[in-house]
Amino acid sequence: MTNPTFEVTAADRGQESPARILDRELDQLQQARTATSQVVFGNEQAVDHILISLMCGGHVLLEGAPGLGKTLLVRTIGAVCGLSFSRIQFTPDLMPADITGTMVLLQDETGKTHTSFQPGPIFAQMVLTDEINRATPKTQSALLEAMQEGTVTAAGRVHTLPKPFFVMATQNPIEMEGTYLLPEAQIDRFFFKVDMPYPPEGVLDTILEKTTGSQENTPSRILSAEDILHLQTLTRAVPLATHVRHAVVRFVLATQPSGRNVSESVKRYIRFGITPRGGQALVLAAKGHAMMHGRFNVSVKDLRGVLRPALRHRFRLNFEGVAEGISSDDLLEELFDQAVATLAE
Amino acid sequence: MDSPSVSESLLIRLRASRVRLVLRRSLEGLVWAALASLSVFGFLELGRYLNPVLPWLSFLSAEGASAVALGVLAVGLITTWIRVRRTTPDLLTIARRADVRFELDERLSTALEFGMAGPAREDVSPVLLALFQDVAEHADQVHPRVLVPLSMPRPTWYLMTVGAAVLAFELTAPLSRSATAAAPLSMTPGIEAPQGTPEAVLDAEVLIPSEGERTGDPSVRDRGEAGSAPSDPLGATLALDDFEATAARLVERQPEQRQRLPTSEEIGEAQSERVRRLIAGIRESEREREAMAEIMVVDPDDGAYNPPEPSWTESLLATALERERGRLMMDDDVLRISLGSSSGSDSGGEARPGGASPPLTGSQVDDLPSEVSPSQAFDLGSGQGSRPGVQVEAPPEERFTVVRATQIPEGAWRRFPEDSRTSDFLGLSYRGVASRYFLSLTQQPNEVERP
Repeated sequence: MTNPTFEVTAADRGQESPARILDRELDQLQQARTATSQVVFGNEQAVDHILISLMCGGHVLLEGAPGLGKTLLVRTIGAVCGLSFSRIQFTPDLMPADITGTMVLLQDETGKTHTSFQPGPIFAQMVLTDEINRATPKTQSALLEAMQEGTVTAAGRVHTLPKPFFVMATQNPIEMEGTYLLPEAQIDRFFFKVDMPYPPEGVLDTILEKTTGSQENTPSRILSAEDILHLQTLTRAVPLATHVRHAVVRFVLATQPSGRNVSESVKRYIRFGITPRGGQALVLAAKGHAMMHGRFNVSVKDLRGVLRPALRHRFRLNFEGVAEGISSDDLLEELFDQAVATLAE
Repeated sequence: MDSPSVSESLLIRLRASRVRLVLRRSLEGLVWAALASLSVFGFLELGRYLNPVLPWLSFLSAEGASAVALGVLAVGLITTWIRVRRTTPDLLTIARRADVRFELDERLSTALEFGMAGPAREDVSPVLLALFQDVAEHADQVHPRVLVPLSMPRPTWYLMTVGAAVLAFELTAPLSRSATAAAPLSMTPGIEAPQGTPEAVLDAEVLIPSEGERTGDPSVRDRGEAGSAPSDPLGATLALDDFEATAARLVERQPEQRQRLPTSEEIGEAQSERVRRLIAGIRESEREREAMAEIMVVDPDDGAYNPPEPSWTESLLATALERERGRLMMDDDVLRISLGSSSGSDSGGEARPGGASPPLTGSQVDDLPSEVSPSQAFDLGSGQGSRPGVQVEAPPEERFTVVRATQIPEGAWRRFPEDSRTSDFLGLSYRGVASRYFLSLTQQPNEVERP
C-alpha cells in the first residue's frame, strides 16, 4: 500500500488551512439559515432541505396545507440568497407561454416590424411555482426543459436561464378538486420533496407573536448568486468513500421490486423503486448535508438525513401497500438500514 | 495545518490496530488448535483406557496418542497461519471499523481512500484538503487498544477445562498404561518379562506359590519357587505382591467397591474350600479340570459350567460369555492347584473319562450329594453330541461361569461387552491373547462366599 498523500506540506503551515477557508464560507451558509429562521419560524428542517437543494442545484417541491408558510419560506430564502425572484401562480388556464415567454411582434423606429422573444417569469434565479398541480399537464410540462436543462426553447431558439436557477414548487395535498397530479417524469425532476408539517404549540405561539405585530421581519441578504454557485462547486467536490457508495448502490437495488435478492416486503408493496436519478439525488444531497453540518465527506449520517426528502417522491407503493397502510418513509428507512448494516466489514 | 505529522500518526494507529488484530486472531487460532489437540489426546487416552468399548483404539500406544495430538496441533497452527494471512484486513478496512467504533462518520476511511488514490498536490480540492485536516484533528480519537482489544480468547475456558480434565485423567488412571506397558514385569528385580504375552501381568502363575504356601502343598510351592520350571508356560514368575499392589490400586480407584471386592486370598480360600468339599466323591485320577469345574459349578450356591468349544467362532464365544453372565472366571492352573491340593478321600463315585469330559447327565446330577445338588440341571448337549457341558440354573445373582481361558481367543474377549464385570480385572489381561489370566471377579457383592 502506498502512503497516503495527504501529508501537509511545509508551505501550508503559514497559510490558512483549507478547512478554515471552507469553514468561513460555510459560516455564511449558517448565517443564511439563521436569517431565514428569523422570518420563517419552526421550519428549520425545511429550511435546511431547501438550502441543501440550493447547494446541490436541485429543485424543490414543497407540499403542505395552505397557510403553513410555503410561499413565505421560498420568498425569504430567495431574499437571503440574493437571487432574482419571480412567482407564478398556477391556474388551470395558465398556458406554457405564460411561463416560458413568447415571441412578440415589435415595430422599430423605422416602421419595420420584427419578432422578439419576450421572456416569461421563469427567467429568474428563483421561481416560485405556486400550486403547481392546478395547471394542466401541458403547462406543467413546460417546466420540464427549464428544470432539467436550464434552458427555454421558443420559436426554435434556445434561451438560457440565469444561473443559479431554482424552481420551488408548492402543492396542496388536501384540496385535490380541479388539480392535475404531476406526472412521474416531472416529479422525478424535483431534487427534494419537502413536507411542511403543522407547527407545534411553541412554534405556533411564536408565529402568532412575531407576525401579528407592527414590526415586520424583513430578511437580510446574506449570500449572492456567486456564493451559491461556489457552494455548488464545493458540494460536488465532497468525497464519497467507495464503501459508502456501494452501500447506496445496494440500497437503491434493494428498493426495486424487479431486482434479485430483494426482500419480500419490497416485492409485495412497492410499485416502482428508486431509479439511478434517485441514487444521484441521494448522494448529492448527502454531500450538501455534510457541508451544511461542517463535514467534508459523505457519511451514513448524511445519507440518512436526506433519505426522505430525496427519495420519498421517487418511490411509489402499490395498491396493496397503500391499502395496508405501509409507510413509504419507514420502508425506505428499513431498507437503508439493511444496506448500511455491513458498512464496517 | 497545525502539525505535518498528524496524518502519519493516524497511519501508525491504524497499523497498530492491524497488528493487534493479527495478534488476536493468531492467539485465538492457537487456543483452538491447542484445544483440538488436547481433546484428541484426551479422547485417545480415554479410548485406550476403555478399549473394550473402543477396541479399535487399542493399537495406539501412549506415544502414538501424543503423536496424533501433536499432529492435530500442527494442522491447527498451519490453518491458523493461513487464516490469519488471508483474513487480515488492509488499512482501509481498519479505518472503516475505526469510523464505526469511534463514530467518526466515515472520515478516516474516506480520507485514507482518497489519500491512497494519490492525486497530485495541486489537484486536491479544498474540500479534500479540509477533510485531511479534519481527519488529522480527529486522529487522536483512534485508540488501537479500544478498536482491537486483546483479551483472552473465548475458547481459552474450554481449553482450561479440557486440560484440567485430561490432567486429572492422566493422574488418576495410570493403571491402564501400566497394565499394557509390561513395565511392572521388567522392573521387578529378578523377574523376566514373560515371552509372547507380556500383557499377562496378572498371570495365574502368580498364585501358584501362594496357593502352595497357603495349602501346604509342597509340589505347588516348589512350582512357584522354581519360577522357570518346565511346567511354567511363561517361563517367568510374578511376585504376588505385584498383583496385590495392582489390585490395591484398582480398588483405590474405585473406593466404593472396596467393601465388596474380595481379595485374591479370599477367593483362593473360598475356591479351595469349595473344591475340597465337592471333589470328595471323585477319584484322584479323575480329578481333571473339566470334572472339577463341573462339580464346582454344580454347587447349590452357584451356577453353570459352560466350557466353550474351541471350534466356536469368536462371535459365538463372545455371545456365550455375555449370555452366561459369568461372574467368576478362573484359570485352569488354579483348578489344577485346587485339585492337587485337595486331600478329600475318594468316595467311590463313578469314574469319569479323561480328555474331553462328557458332561454330567441328569442322572449323574441326581446322584450327587444333596449338599451339591443344583436347583435345576439339564444336559446341554450330550444327547446330540454337539455341545458338551452342563448348565445349572441357579439364582441369577449367584451364577458362575467357569471357562478355560486357553480356549478363548483374543477377539472374543474384545467383543465381550463392556460392563462392570470386565472393566477391572479382565482389563488387566485381555490385551494380549487371553491365554492365561487370573481369577476374575465381578463387582457383585457376596459372589464368593467364605466357607
